[in-house]
Amino acid sequence: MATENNNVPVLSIRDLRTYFHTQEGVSRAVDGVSYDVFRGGTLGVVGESGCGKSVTALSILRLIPTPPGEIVSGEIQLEGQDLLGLPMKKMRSIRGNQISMIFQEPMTSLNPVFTIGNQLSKVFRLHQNLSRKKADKKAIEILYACEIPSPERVMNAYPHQLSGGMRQRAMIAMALGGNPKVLIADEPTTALDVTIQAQILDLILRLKKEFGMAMILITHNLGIVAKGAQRVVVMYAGEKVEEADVSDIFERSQHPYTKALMNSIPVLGKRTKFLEEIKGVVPAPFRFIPGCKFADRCPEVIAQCLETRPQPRERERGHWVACFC
Amino acid sequence: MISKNLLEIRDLVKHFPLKKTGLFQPPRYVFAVNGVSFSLKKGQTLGLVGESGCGKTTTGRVILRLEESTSGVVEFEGRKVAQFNKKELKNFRESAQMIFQDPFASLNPRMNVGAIVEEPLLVHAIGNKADRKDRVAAVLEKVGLEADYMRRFPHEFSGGQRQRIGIARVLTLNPKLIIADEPLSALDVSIQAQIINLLVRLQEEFYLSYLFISHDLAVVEHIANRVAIMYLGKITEVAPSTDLYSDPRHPYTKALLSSIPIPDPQAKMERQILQGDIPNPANPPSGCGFRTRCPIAKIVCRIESPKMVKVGKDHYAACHTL
Repeated sequence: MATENNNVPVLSIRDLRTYFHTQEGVSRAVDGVSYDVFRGGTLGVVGESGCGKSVTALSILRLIPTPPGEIVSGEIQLEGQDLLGLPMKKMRSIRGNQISMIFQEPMTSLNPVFTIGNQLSKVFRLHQNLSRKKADKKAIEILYACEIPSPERVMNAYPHQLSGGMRQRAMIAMALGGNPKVLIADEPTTALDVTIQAQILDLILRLKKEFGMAMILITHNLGIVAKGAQRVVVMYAGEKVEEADVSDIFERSQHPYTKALMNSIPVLGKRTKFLEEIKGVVPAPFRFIPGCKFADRCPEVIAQCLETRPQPRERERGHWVACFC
Repeated sequence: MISKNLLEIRDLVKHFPLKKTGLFQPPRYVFAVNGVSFSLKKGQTLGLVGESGCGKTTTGRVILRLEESTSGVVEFEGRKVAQFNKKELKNFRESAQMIFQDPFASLNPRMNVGAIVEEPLLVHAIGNKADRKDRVAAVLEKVGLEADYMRRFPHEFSGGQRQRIGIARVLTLNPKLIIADEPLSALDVSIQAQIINLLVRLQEEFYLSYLFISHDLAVVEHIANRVAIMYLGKITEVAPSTDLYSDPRHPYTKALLSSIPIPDPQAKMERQILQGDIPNPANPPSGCGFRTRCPIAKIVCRIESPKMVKVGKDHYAACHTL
């Protein structure tokens, strides 16, 4: 059952639609997505490229470049407070402070011309109004908490002087500096080596617990979801197709896409001759599809799927599925 | 004596020189491949697995002589590749081909698919125009693409389809050996399954031999008969696929296997999380390269690089504790 012990969502998204206006047409990157993140919980958001998982996260922080992007409709609330209508000045005080984000590629999200110390202490100077000296001290403390062996040295280092794992730790330190209520981790380990991935994942999960944060863990890796998430949302082509507790997603998934995804991954220790394929490709985001977006690849498709778009319905307690099957 | 192995590598070494930082500085090198030996039989797949800087990609490139080795032997069908003259090298390249990691960078965006897939036939002067067209159509269908796609350009295709085009290009020459360098890393999970299945089917149909380079242990377990693990330019363990996964002997292999999160929330894993970062291959540790992160390192590991010893049937590992 759900392990959250209170039902107050700390972050709430309702019917979010984020579109991009491009020369080829309107790209419906997020097309009516709703989910909640609970205090102290971890929501895993799973899907492949183009499913909208990252754009949803960027929409929460209102980091969508406008134009060509546009949050067309929907509601996003942090502890009941509307975020989409906030003036930018207030939104900036929420970013990095109440809601933080770590990205996949630490080299592209850290400023290459400033030292780690400079970038990190800025978090404390900006959000907690500390003096430079006090901010530096806090920065060292948090680098240490992120398992960086010689924090003083790293303070004076530039991003390119650190390894991938170290950069990611520095970015995590920056994200935690503001003591956020919600941490959004967008593919935090994908760009790292396997043995470093394990270190970083463990670190993130441990710090999340210590700091008492809620987390949105965005990934395409089902192993990471199994380890880190309590609830899971599966996305496909801009929509939520299934949502359930992590054990239900793995043992009793109901949406044909989720089932097919589970069966198409090679799992250590379970060798078969052929993997189950999902025929076809993800639809181009500019195509307007009247019915279910997965219909043309679905092994269980029926006539209704092509005409009407299925909405997520609570099939069992806490288990939502958008399917007519 | 005719070797029964299609490919045999012995003590392969490749060092890349670094620019001198000062007039009187000693020369520095990146020790990319530092004494690698393995063999590959016809119709089999050898997985070459490792993390950044282990030398797996360089090994693949040196085998095909895309880089010249510093020392060591590469033998293809019993003949030394380093000694091939221009003509023999060209023939060799008909039989030994590569599939690349990045399906977006490995296809010329200004050539249509037909021209891309046909190019190897032109380079090796095989057939006339009509023959080539037939061959391209046949090979495109073999990889699950329509012959019509010949007229289209790479940007019109998805990552998975472009990888298929890359595979088709390789197949036109009827190669014996295909070196696949991380062919799935840039693809989505569900597309990976399609490409893996395609590679398995093609291997069966054409009796192909694969050197499958990857960092993804789960994929390699699925597709390889034998797996070799590399770290800092050396092979640390090599064994039949099932044995490597069920009975790993080298501490690095054990750590690698336990680092992979299993897609099963109930799985209780004995996690052996390695501390520290991978050392710089331009400045490897003395003795055993793995000793700086090894949970069971001893004094001897600092002094001497371990030799490969037999630890089971066809199963070898390089560690002082074995």
